[in-house]
Amino acid sequence: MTLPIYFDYAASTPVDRRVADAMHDCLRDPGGHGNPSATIHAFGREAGGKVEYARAQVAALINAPPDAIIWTSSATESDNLAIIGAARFRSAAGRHIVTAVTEHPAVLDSCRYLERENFRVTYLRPDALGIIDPETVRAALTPETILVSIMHVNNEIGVIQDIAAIGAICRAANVLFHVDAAQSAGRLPIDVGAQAIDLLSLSAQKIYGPKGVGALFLNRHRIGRVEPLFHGGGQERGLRSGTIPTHQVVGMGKAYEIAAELREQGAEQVTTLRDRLWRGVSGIPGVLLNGHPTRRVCHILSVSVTGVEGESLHYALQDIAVSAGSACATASAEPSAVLRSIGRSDELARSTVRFSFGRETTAEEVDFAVDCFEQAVAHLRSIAPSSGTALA
Amino acid sequence: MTVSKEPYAPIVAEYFERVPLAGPLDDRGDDDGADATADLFSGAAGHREHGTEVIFHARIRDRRIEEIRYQVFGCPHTIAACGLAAEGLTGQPVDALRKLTPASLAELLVLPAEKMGRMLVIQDALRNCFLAWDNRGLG
Repeated sequence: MTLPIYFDYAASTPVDRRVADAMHDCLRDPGGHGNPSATIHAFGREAGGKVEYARAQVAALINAPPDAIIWTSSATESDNLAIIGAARFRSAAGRHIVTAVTEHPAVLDSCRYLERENFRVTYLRPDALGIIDPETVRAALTPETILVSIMHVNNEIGVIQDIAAIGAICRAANVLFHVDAAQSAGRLPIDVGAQAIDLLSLSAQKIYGPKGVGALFLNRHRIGRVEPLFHGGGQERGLRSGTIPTHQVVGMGKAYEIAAELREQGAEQVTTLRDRLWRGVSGIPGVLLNGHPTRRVCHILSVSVTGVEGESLHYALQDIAVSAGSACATASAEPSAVLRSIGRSDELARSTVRFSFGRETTAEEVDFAVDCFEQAVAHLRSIAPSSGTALA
Repeated sequence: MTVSKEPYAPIVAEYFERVPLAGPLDDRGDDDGADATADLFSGAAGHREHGTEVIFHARIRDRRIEEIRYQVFGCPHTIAACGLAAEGLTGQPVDALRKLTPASLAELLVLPAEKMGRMLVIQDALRNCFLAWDNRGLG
């Protein structure tokens, strides 16, 4: 076993060898260097063909028509384009947006940006298990509401929101519905039609594709366009100017094709490993599961542990690459808003570990992680004062 | 795998792992049956809810720190600083408890500026340990 062992697949996955090969072939292809928009000549048409093939591969995973896919640089850009672009485009119809405090910063910061443009934003709170009740979405809607943005799977604690129910509520109220699916694409079934999704943000790097490319699904029947954030060459039907990076989108397309093939089998395998790790660490006193016990994605396990300081816990876990599951990467950073919103104290929010699992994770590695975690907690508790220690 | 930058200085890593002199001080007395806790003094500072809590326990005899231990809830720098302080204070005159400066610990640990407050917690705990001794009127 080579150390450290990777348990941070929710942050980023390795590039699948088949994806890397497809990208490599694209870069080495003598004709692949053409600008995909330069369809006037053969080089451009060849590159353009690869781009359109990849677009269809991505669209297939979410049951969307290929022409509803817009290439971006990342899910973060997709979130920005969806929220800012849709709000500006629909501003004549209203200036109210509904989202949740548990959303990714790319959503929350886009909403805060819009507040500076005199949009009003309602930030819903989840219940103690991290679930946004669809009825709270319904209750938050006003005649001024133009957009609801709720993520499919929470990136910190892995809970799954009832996207179909929220989508139905939005559709009935004629409000646009945006979903950040960075953590769910390739792991959970997504059907943009059945789930009444109008805008969907996608990432490549979360499912064994390359960094630097993402996509936005745009339901053209519900919203003809969004206000672009980038201006220039008019690529992507004028919604996202900038030369399309052929090899990047080819990589994303291949990653999505593989994800479609492996989703069910991969989810079963990863769920088994996630549950094995939980069984191992849940026996340690003071270890708490964050989020809903069953409505959770296969690849994320978030636990908080009492009686240990967060930074030291993470340092003691140097042999396994995990995430803090919070933004407190530096001494001055605030504890995670997601964890605070489900009722964890600052102290517990800081002593939170997010394990995330992938195709390469093995049972042996999981058992090693359990041992590391147990030893780290024991080490730190052995030197800590008892809670409420009274001094003579 | 090549790690581009270690987040802590080697001395922090060493003291974090080894935690020399960590733990409570046992209350064993002398063989003559004297009060086992008569020369034990403790000083605490910080709050767990704020991320740092430190307690020093010292056995002080004849104005000298015969033994010192600590219990700590804190970041790796804080844990390492407690170990360094305890090692450095063992055998020193009792006045050393109030003379140890945060700057001296910070320099040894290559401490980020934003963490200086945690060294102040250690300083406060040591000073409170000194005060516990001083208030007993043994000086």
